[in-house]
Amino acid sequence: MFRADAKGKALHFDNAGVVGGNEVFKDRETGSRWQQSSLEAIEGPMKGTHLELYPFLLTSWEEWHRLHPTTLVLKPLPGYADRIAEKNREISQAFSGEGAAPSDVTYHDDRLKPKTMVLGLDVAGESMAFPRNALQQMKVVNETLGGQPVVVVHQPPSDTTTAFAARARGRTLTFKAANANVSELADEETGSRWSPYGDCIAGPLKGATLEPLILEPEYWFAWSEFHRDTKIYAPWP
Amino acid sequence: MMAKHPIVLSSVLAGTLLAAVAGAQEAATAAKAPVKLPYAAVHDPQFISVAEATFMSAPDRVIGLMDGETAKAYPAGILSQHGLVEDRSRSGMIAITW
Repeated sequence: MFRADAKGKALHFDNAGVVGGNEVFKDRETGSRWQQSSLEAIEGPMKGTHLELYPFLLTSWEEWHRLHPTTLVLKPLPGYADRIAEKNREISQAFSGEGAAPSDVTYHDDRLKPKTMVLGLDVAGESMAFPRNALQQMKVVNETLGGQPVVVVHQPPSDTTTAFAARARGRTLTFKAANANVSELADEETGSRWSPYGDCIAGPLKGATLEPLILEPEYWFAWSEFHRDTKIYAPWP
Repeated sequence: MMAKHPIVLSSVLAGTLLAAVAGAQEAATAAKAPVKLPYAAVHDPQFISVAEATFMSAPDRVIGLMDGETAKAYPAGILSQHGLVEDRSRSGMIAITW
């Protein structure tokens, strides 16, 4: 999800095919073509310009509805509702991590299998890919990225991953899961209790919030192509 | 004059029946060979309430967005049929992609 403007100009996008296994959009205002994974204009007057990520949460319907009981839901256009179940099966299959990269992908980084699902994070010019299967095992990861402490939190029941700057009220914090579902965290420094959405709910830091960081869910082949210096989080020595 | 009415009526009815039969045949054909729906970006999204979203199941993936106090869910099963949905937020236009 990104802001639909660049250089002070509001942009409207249409699909414009696939380049290197990655979707491309064309804006109606300048005719520039934009790559989804890098959010960079690859052609046209805006070439070299980047769009800005906008905060979002990739989660399950059950979890989103629990968090926001009065949520609105995008209405399917006529005919499209009939395909939702089929599409959801394809999506769940796509999360398996198996299979080859699309044939037109030219950049290959063999550190992970091409269709490994990763959650990508950029902090102060440094990138790290958190493989979904590593997060499923570790659940809470304390890392340093771009010289800053970060925490990545994975909730297995809803397959939801969130990330934050690991600092509150001037202190750097180290987090651990407070239960198996990771519906609650605790920090080691003060023993305060936190929700997986960055809110301190009990303890000395009660009321504090963590600054959210925007994770980009991607296949490894796409993330690695557009973040060539990326590190990979590996829980195993 | 009067005699013509039943004829007019019956032809109208016949037309309706034919349309209904044609509709049923289309539906039967659609079930066998689905009509290709355009893979096209949505520029004017509409929203419904939870009660109306009967197509949603618990494990379905959604992209959730907070716009001030308003929560919006963009189901992956819809997004993936369009590639991109544009929407308005309090801080300007945004695009949601899958």
